[in-house]
Amino acid sequence: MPSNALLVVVGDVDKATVDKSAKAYFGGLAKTPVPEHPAAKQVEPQPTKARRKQIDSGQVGLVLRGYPIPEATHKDIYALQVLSIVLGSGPGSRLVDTLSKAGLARQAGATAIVREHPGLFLLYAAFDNGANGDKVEKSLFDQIKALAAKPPTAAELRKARALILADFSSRIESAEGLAGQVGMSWVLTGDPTQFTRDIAQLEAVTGADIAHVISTYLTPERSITVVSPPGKR
Amino acid sequence: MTRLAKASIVLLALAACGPGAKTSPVIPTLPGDGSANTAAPKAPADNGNKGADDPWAGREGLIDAPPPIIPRALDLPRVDAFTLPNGLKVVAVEMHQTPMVSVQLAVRAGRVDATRDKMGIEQVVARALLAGTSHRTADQLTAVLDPVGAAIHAQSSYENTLISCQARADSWQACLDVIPDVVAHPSFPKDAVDAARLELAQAAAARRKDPSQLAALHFQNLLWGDAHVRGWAASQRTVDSITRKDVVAWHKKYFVPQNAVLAVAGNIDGKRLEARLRRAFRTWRKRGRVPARKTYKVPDRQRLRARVVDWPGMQVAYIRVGNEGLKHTDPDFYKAVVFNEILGGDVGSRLSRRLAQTGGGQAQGSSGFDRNFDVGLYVVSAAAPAADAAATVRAILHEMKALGDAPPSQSELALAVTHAIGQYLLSMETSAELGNAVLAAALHGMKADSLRDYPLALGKVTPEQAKAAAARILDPLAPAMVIVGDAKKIGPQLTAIGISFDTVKHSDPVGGWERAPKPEHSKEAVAKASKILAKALEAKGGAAALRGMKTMILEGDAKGVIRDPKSGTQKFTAHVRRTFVTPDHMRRDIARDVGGQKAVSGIVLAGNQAWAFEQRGNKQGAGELPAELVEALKQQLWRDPGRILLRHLDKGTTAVALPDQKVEGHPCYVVQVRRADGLASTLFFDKKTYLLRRQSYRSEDSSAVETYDDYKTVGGLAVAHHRVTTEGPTQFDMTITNVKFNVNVPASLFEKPKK
Repeated sequence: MPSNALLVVVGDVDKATVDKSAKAYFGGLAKTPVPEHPAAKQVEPQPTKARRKQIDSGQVGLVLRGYPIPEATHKDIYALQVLSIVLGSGPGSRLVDTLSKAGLARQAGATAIVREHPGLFLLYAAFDNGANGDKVEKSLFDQIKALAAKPPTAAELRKARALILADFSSRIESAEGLAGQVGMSWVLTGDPTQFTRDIAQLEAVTGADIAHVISTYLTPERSITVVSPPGKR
Repeated sequence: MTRLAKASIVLLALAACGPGAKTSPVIPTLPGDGSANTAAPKAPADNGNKGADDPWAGREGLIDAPPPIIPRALDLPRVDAFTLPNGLKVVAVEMHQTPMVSVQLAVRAGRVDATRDKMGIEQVVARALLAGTSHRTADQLTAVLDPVGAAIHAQSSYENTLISCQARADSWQACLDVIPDVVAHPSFPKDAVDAARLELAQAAAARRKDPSQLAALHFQNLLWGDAHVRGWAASQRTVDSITRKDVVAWHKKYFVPQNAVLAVAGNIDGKRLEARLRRAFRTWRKRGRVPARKTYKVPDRQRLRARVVDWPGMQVAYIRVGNEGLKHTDPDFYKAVVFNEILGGDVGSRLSRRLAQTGGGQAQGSSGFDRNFDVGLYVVSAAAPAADAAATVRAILHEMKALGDAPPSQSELALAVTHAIGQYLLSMETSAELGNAVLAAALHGMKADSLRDYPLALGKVTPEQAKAAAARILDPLAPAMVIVGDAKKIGPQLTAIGISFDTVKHSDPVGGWERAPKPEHSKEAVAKASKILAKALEAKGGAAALRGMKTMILEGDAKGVIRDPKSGTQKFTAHVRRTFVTPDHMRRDIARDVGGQKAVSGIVLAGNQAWAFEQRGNKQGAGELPAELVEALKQQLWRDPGRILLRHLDKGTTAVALPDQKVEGHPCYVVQVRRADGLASTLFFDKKTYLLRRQSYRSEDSSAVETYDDYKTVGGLAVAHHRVTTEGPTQFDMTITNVKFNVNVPASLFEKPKK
């Protein structure tokens, strides 16, 4: 319904034309109150102990480790996103260097899944040799411990900022990309312009901020781990 | 879909959600290379037309669709073109409305240049290109790009190898610091070449395990034949034959500046560009000549030729129907774009509407054609329930014919033109996309004006012209046709509609030249094989003793080696116990020490079911194995080195003698045993003892060899106490310490674990 939607138009258009077209094609939809969002009232239960589950073998081994994180509007989200780059965004990141380059895993990474409501910080590794499974799991914990003990270097933070800026610039290069940013910003925060302020916040993240989110959200007892060993070769 | 594919998709989906701070690399593609063939069929547009009943028919008050787009020339920025002193052609587009710069270098070195025995070499080169140069390691190259958030990629296509780099406008110098170095001075470290080969072999194997991709491979082979490069595909065999020396030679031959085009697009200072590029590429010196590109004759069209690729149990039929297409410079090119939209483009195409009425609304299809320098293909890709395969084929052929018989209506044409222009405009927004387009135009010898005027050219196509082009290019009477699916369901349908076809197995090699010649079944060869096997049975202990073996337990110590170019050579030792219960139960327990803890893992085959299990400490797990692994285990059982001596006595199984060979210096008789369904194994018997020395066979996508020695008699049967199995990168060397026949085997060993 219209009260639960946002129409985003980006391109070689003028406001008057957009207004006229929007009224013509969407104006006829009935006005209704904003629907309830039950998720908004849910309180995410906080984990109290680590959970681990081993599932069926797959063609390659997989370790997925997740930690619940707050919603998109929380102030800690920026540090969590920068942390995900430091930990697991391509060559030079902690997980890739320790796992992929060492031959323990064929792929490794980290991502902060940011949502309107509480999200998930995810670390992952894909590996071939079943004998490495324990080492891979331990390494995921070890990298977080290492960052908790010693914050990212200035070079790591510089790289993270550069990646964030490059990614953002690339996304908004097209009309579709820019429209997507506007729409996603609205869905996640209720403010379609929030994304224009996100970059500055991300660039302002410090080592102390990273240490804070690690000690708050990425503690062992908050972890959920799923392991799928590699199958027959 | 494999678990790996599923997991990767999950990971990608998870990573893609949210505003995300990760860099999303833009990997521009070059036109052509059969992408039309390999793309999965698009789902039919949900235009409400389900079957013959149109739920929108007769409704009033519907919104009028916007009028068709009026074609006008693209507002393209100026494209500058110049050539550097070393012969490198450059095309440049200044775009100040974007914060990005895209640098794309295309070298005319692609799949079209590879030889049949080394298919995939262009991909190995592309994959290994960024692994370091004579001046810098891969990490040092990354250290130039990472601090500015720049990304570089290398990939190959049918015609070219593309190295692309994207960065923000204030830091794109990083791209110029890296691209000339990697293209002029790559070091191709051995481990990087090996890793690239492994990745390619895995990708080639994965393509053959995906029915839609397999249909694409067979279609290329059927359409172009075994003598045309388009009919060839990379395989384990071709990848195995590619050496580092080949990679270096390929690079030396093709990676010369006169054989390349560079495109720079984005927020650049056009006035300073040429000077910057001269400096950046100064070490990439002109040398030699531009290598000639081999041309291949387009096969003459004959009659309809069809191939069914049998995949037993597949519920879906993956269909490809098509012909040779046209060149990018064909005068009918724009007409073909338009008629393709009408036939199998996106919204409201004839195929999508027609197929929505076929297969209970479950069939889907689309069409497309290559845009290559030489003649490419035109293909309709579809997927339908297996029971509707023939109906879908008929629908496709009907629509192909209909388009050439009568012109489309003006409104249908206008809709197609609007869609094609819209898609075109959407593909020309970013610096990378625009750079890619000017690069493609330059590679095909087309001026930038053609990009500008593309919408106008489409707008000029008339209904009669679309019809005439379709009649010329589409040939519904003599297409090539491939269907991947269950031949038992599909074959009778095709026969019923008068289509004769060849059948191959989905596990067979794609190319005709890759399929091993069937041994001659001369009477002499069959008789000789029969004599050899009779003596071999006698040497073993006799057929009666072998048949009398109802259970067998083999135990021993094994050493394993797995060679993985990425993770290196992995070695392991284990204690292995194999348990057999005639006729179809087999269990393998492998006990190893893992990090100080005893771990037991293995597989169980019990008739038509199989599962893998693992126990480590107090943790245990088990998982059912998919049908293709069950089949692989049954094949292992068939090849058991004792029982294989009896297989030729099974109904439908043949045995023929092949020329004698030596195995590790020992003269051997050679017999090939082949089951009725084609499963085969080649046996090498020592000429003196008639004991089995070696067995070789194909296992999935690789060749395997087992050798046997140290025979000892146990319970009246000669048993090899030392066996080595080599399969692809894996070797398993087992010394048997204990053999028992006809002992009691608890049924619980073959009970499926509870979930």
